[in-house]
Amino acid sequence: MKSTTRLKDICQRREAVLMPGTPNALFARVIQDLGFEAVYVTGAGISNMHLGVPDIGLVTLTELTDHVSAIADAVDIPVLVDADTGFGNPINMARTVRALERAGAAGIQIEDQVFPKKCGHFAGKEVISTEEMIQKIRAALDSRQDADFQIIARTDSRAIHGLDAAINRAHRFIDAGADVTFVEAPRSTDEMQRIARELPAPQIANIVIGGLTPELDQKSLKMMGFGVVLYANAALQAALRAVHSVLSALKTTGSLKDVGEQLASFEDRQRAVNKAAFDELESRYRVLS
Amino acid sequence: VTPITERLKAVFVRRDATIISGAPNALFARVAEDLGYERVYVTGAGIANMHLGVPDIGLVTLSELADHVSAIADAVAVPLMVDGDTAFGNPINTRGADDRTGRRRRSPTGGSDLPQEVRSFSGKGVPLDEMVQKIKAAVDARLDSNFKIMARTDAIAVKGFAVALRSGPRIHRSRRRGDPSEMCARP
Repeated sequence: MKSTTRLKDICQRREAVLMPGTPNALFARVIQDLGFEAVYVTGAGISNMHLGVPDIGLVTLTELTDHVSAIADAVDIPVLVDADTGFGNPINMARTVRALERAGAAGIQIEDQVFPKKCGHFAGKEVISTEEMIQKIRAALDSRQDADFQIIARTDSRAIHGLDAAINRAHRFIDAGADVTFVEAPRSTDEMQRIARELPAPQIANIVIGGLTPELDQKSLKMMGFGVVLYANAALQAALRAVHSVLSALKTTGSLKDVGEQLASFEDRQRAVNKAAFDELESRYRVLS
Repeated sequence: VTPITERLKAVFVRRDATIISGAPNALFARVAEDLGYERVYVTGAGIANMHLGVPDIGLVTLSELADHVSAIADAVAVPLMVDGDTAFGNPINTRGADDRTGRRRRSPTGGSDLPQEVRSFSGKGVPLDEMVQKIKAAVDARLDSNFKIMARTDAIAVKGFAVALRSGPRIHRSRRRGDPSEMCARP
């Protein structure tokens, strides 16, 4: 089955499928190896990890596309991509969809923030008008080549206009043809319940550790009827703590003796990047003399 | 302010086994800098593993490496030493690698770890004469004479320790001018 169709099925099942996020191909491979059904490419993660900057709209479409190509080449599971605002107006959105679909994405998430955007859980977000966002959604839908390529429309308006307005926006996005909607940063279990109950299309819950949304488990979110649960930056946050701990010990003691158990072995590392498959290619194409 | 290339050079001159932490991305480079590491090494194997999710077998392109070096150099103030692998081809490619990892940057970069196939995997080495030409190309292409060219030999795995050690002085002599720290052979 095509990766776009697999992603569509995952959303439509409404079983609160867990989707860890990754900023790179290595973590994507770990996510696949652990049996997760799909992987989310996190824009915040690429900002933090590739550029070492906060999630404030500095990553370019070119940089995102490079990362998506690398990730899509490294895994077989569907890749859902955080495309932020589509990098501008509806015309930029059209180009964004073409570039990311070509790079191997199975779907993208687009949002109604003013470009350049901010992390959904930061203060000081601004949103464009509902009408303008609907035109961007139309541009995205018109640009996809594969009808199953998922267009997930996110609204960041909860923080600015309140939950009723946010749910109303999501209704309008669904009427415009969005496959899935995503009301970002609800602040209570009641709010999450309303989102899942009142909106007719599958919904996404975004669990941000230390963010504004209650950290409900998969069982509760499945009962509410969410389609997908994002843990966009759990892998990055785990890696950050591990790197800090190991390099700190190295700096202090001059060796890794005390922190050896925190490191993947050389063999585990090669397994994670599937070296065996490349060895097999090497022997298949060896010139026999 | 001491130029960034001279700061990297100072580490080699000291010969005090300064620990240089490797980073495949700007975030880890920032962690290393925050912890007080004086220098950061941009790891080619790390970029292969982390960015592409593949083993370190020469799949990363010069463009991809240059993009990562730009991002890392913009994110930290410490000098960077960049793993340039085989410099992506022959001596002419070596010129380009120097340009794109060093010149294009906000500030000049550290060094370029030139020769070889891949580290702990088995493979073949290039003839010493060819490597010497590549080093000459690298030295000629740098704009800042303090931009360190670090030449590595992987000959131990192929020809044994004695041969690897003998290639060191030859590699070292291939530099044009400068102090003895200008080139570090790493048998």
